Amino acid sequence: MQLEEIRRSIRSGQPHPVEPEQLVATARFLASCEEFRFLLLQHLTCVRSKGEWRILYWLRGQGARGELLPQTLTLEVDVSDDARVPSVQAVWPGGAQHEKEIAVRSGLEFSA
Amino acid sequence: MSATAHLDWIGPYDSRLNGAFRLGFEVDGGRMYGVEVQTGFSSRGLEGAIEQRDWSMTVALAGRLDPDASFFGEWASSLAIESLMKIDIPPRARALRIAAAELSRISSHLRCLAMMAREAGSLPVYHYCLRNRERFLDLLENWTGSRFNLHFCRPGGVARDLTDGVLEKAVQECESIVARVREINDLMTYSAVFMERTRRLASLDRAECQQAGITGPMARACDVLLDARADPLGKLGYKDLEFAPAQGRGQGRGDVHDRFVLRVREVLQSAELVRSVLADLPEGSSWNERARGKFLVPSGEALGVVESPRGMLACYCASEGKSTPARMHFRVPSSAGFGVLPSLLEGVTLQDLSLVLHSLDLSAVEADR
Repeated sequence: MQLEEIRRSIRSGQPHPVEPEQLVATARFLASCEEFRFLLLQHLTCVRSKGEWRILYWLRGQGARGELLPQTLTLEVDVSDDARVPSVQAVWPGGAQHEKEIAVRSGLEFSA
Repeated sequence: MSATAHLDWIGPYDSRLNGAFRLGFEVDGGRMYGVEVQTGFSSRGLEGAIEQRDWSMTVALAGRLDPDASFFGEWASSLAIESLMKIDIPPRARALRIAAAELSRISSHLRCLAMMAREAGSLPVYHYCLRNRERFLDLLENWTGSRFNLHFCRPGGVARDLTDGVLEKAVQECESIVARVREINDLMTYSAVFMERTRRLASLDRAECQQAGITGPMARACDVLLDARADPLGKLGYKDLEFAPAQGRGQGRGDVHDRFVLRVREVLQSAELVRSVLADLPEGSSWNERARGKFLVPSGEALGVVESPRGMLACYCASEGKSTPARMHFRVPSSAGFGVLPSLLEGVTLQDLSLVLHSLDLSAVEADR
């Protein structure tokens, strides 16, 4: 796991690029790691860029009682039109609604 | 024949529902089971429409996201645009935004409380809530020129500074709502009949709530202290007001009664916030001149997050340096609420359906966009 790169992305506010096949493992780590506690998927969106889809996961740290923590991180996954994107529902079940919206907008499929 | 053909469906337009959506369920002994929800009947293509407008017009359309609390769509999109433009707003504009937001929140919560009171059969409380909501809507009209689609928050500040008499009227209304809330509490909140009916009804626990991404009063009633106003990054300006989110009974679960109580508490909290922010209103301009007229937004992307009366509202905005946004996409709190509706309504009686739906305060218009 690229821990230092993640810390750098948190400090700089720049999106942290993730390969699609690494997405779920990275998400699981970020949600379970006590240092980050990225338990809230604040937003999930996609945007067309250079013939590819950029999928952005806006994460937010949450304390034990749900209070917001200062750390934020954006994960960026670049995929082609016909790619299947791994679903993050296993980590953030609330992501289901967001993924459904993205699928309608972009035609991308999210695999369980 | 579809897999759900055996269900009884109501909606999209049905007096038992609090918006345009369909609800399918099986009924056994007057209780609902196997609940399914269909939304999408109020889709207006709002985000697509926004992406075709120039930057100065986007915010006005973003206000149409939720007709009951239009200020918050305007606020979230303004924050995202300001972040892209790397501009700060004057302290007075920040304070005025908080005042307008809290007045809108009071108005929205009073509507929700009124509808719950009506469904619970407490007509006096229904009328009291609507009467007081009218006063707050009048106040917003005096100040912004509009009751619902305010067109008040703009990138760079607010469209209008306080007009004559608005400050005094706002303070007066926020003081009088305290007495009104006492009436609501006496007549309904802690009445044995209402508590008997609503305690343990459609309850949700903290873990379910967090997993489903539920935010807003629905989450806070389950003791999840998630509130964008209490964000330690403090972009909204509540930091100086020593804001702490309202919370439920501290039992890690929230039912219909908890949601009612929480909104009552938030009405009082918002009134207090308006009083404190207006008592110490900074001097100076309410506008950053860099965002005057038709402005261009540099390339980049940003997220603006606010706490609307229904929960956390986020606006993602991407710019390619052109005259229109490349992408504007909202995270609306009602979407997550519709996601948990099937499990929440499982076993609820048909007579309680409307009461439960109004306690959740979901907006199909907002979810469909």
